[in-house]
Amino acid sequence: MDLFNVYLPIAGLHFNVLILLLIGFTVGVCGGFFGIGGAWIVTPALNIFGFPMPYAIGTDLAHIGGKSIVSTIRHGRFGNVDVKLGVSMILGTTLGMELGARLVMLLERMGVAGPVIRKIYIVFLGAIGTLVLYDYIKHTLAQRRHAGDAAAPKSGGINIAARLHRIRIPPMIHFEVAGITCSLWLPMIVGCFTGIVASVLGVGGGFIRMPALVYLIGCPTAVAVGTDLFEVMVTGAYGAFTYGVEGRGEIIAAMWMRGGAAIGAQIGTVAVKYVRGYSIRLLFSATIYLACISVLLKQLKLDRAAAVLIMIAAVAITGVIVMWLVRGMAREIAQRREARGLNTAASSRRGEP
Amino acid sequence: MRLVTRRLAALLASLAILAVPVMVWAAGGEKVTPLENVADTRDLGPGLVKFLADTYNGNLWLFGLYVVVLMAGMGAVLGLGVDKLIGLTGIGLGKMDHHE
Repeated sequence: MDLFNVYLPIAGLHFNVLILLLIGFTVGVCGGFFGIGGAWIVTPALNIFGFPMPYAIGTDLAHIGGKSIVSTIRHGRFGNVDVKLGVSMILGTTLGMELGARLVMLLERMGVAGPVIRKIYIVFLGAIGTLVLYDYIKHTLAQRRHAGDAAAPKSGGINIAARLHRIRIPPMIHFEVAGITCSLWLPMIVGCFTGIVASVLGVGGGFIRMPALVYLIGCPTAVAVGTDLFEVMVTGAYGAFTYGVEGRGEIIAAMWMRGGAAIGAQIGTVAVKYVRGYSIRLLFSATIYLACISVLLKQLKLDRAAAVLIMIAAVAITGVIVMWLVRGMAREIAQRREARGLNTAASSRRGEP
Repeated sequence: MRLVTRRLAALLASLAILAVPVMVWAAGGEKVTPLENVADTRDLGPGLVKFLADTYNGNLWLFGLYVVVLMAGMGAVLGLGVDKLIGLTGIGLGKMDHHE
């Protein structure tokens, strides 16, 4: 295996490039499919293979920005990125981050920051996972109840966004890609709320923003994924610079991961085309539950078990996404061939060359 | 109305650029403190790795800039390249319908 070892001069170690490519690929697939940065996968994965922690976060950030560019470009071409919505959210998120940081400082002064934050994190992950799962079950039951009924409700799931859209505080704004019209204050306030939560929990926040875009803003799932990735791209690029300036980014490792992520991000993004929004939500819910268990293990000081769980979960989820993609592609290619065959048959019947 | 929308968009974009620094926490999850470290370049031959390691040792600001430019450049080049490859499979890569 020495053949695949490369020297990483900044971290000062030899590391297997196959591991870097695999980590990049896995986080690329998950990131492109769910619209998340994936730091919660990369950081423990690098660390468990012997990567020093101070460099793991910086290296992760260095590749997240680049990886999100790939996914954002592809999602943009699919019509899944609402830039106007993304920018509005960034503004709110920024304010929320600042407020969250102050809240953390207050909790630190009270001497309860660490334990309180970890418990909130576990509760929050569990709550998001349960909300998304509940919505999926509600939607599925409604679909079964109204099977064959033309007047069946389109979603049948949770519909908080419709109520929030009724609040008509100027300026009202239409987001073309998301197909919604609401007060500009709505995405800004939702961004602020997700910013506070992300800041208090000390995480990137993709896993909070994606469901918030779906349930509070009312975006179609694919647009929520694409728009969230747009935000991750902006923040990831700045984070990469900051950590780079502080000497915490192992760029050679990030470049290798980037190679794996380029393919993974395309696969994850294209897979979105072949699945219904609710399938994305169901898999997202399972992912959040696994992340919740991993944080719980960390809380119980079982760090290694937590990292192993995350890695196994990431590989398994990647497998499911790749399977959906392959099945969808095979179906589409077969349909195209069939259509071409029918056209050729029709032309020959008409005597056309 | 269009002028107002444009001005609003410009205002939002400017504020977003100003806002980005606060979001490092969002991206990273913890506060950044400088790290005292020197990359060992003794065994490195001339090439990109040595160039980047030397930059790391000499000028961290320039290094930070290279990280962003290199990652964004790789992201764009590899992304477009793999996009073309996927296009060769014959699947439609245009605008998709949103099925919930």
